[in-house]
Amino acid sequence: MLRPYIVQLVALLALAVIADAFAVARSVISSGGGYLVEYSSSFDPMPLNRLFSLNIVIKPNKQSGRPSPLVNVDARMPTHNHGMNTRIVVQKLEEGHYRADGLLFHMPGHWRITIDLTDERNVTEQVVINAQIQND
Amino acid sequence: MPKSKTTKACGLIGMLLCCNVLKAGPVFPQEAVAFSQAEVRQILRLSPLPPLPDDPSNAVADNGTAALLGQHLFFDPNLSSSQKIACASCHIPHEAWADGQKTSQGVRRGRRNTPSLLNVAYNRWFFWDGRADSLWSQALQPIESPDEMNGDRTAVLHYIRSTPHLYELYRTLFGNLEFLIQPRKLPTHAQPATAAKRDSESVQAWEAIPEETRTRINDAFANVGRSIAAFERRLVSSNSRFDKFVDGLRDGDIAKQNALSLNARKGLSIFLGKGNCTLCHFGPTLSNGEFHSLGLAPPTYASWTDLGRLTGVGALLRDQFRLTGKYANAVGKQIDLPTNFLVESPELAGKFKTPTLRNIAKTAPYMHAGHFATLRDVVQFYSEFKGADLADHHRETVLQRLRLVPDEIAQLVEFLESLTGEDVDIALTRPPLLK
Repeated sequence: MLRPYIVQLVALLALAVIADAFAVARSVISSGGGYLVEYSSSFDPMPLNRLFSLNIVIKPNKQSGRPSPLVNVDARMPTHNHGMNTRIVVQKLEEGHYRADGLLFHMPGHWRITIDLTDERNVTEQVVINAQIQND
Repeated sequence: MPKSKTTKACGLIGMLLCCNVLKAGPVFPQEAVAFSQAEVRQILRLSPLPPLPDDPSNAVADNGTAALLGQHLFFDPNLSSSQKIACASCHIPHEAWADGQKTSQGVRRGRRNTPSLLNVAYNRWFFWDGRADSLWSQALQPIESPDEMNGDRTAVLHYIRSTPHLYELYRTLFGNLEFLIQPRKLPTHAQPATAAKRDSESVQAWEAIPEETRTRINDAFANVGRSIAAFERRLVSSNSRFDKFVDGLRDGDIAKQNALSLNARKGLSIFLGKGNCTLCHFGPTLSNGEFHSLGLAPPTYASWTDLGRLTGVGALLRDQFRLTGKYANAVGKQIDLPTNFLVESPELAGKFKTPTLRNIAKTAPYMHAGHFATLRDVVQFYSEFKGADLADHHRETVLQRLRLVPDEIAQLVEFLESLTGEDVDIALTRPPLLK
């Protein structure tokens, strides 16, 4: 009798652990105003020289009526003229929900993360996240 | 702005204190170099060396018997085709586990400088180009490299099986190797094809072995690497003068802080500030363990072009012993492995791994092909980038001439010299005694 409830409880606890692993989400509107993007990092603040992930939730502007776009994530150090030594892999978890794995900031300083959102008409809007990575 | 005034003021105070040393005996030189709170936070992160990181890909990483077997193998030249080259031929204990040569001398002259093995277990990547992602898989490559030991995996396993003191240890850890001779004797020499060895007899012999038996051979060969890694993990050298200074800084213990000379403190100040050294040399190993291009031209004695990390990534992704391959022991969450996220990008061309600075004063010559004979030469290079190719469009624009004056170069060198740790246990510096 109790088994279904136990299963549900375990599932809820697992979800809580996953949710807790990511920091509080921050929201940004994309360059063309077509999307509201919420993102959270598996480490807060984003870590130095350690692999981490971003959870990304994309909410198309209701007036635009767009479906979920293709999502591409990159990160570079603009003042150093280089990116990461790893390649980011974006996975679609469910409609509007994505996970970007493989971020590794190997130097302290200013990192610029760009999230490109490309719709079915091949129109790309961008979200830029500026992160100051500390080593003290 | 205030910082430069402070630095000048501190320099003046330092000079006055130095005069006082001559007149009135010892003073506490820490008064002469003032570190900001942010700098102190950075310094505290540089020391101490933490406990050894776990290696979940090596089930015997901390097993004493495995370390003993690994120590025997490390010093044993019979693993090489010439029976003259051991791991210890290039990783010489009294040369800080490097070899003091520009490039390594195995069966043939190599193209890269031999890195020290001190504190090697803290690495994320191995070799200058990071073509191995675990210490145990790194240990296997020189055995079969034509430049280094030029051996092969079945020869090594046959040798272990026929050498009583080695086989006893191996059997205790991993079980027997009787599949090498039953139901029929496997070839004495066999190994997979590589770019350097395509059509040799040993490659042909390998290709004639059934797949299932090859897997058993590979499993056993991986055990050889795991044992050597278990030994190499013990080559830890810490408690340098700098570590003592940081310990004193943390405790407010002046006597401990005095382990670092005034000049070395000034060098530390440059290291954290004007030198920008902590962009890559941070954390307790004083390295990010990642890959950068300094625009170093090939040395005059080199007739080759070395693409560094670009070829390293390709080699790693093809290495059957990589952490994402089937021969790694349980490695936990596979997604957490940087190896999952590597890509052969042109941006990696000419990049080489940032070496640890711990014990750096003992591991000359420097850079991936032994470009510089002394630490002074290295610092001088960073000061002027003389001869460097900085025109490449992939270059890191953060590389700017530091324009250090001779005193600053000397101070930075003195700081680097303070990073020499204590010697490892002398019992690890020679082959184990046979019972």
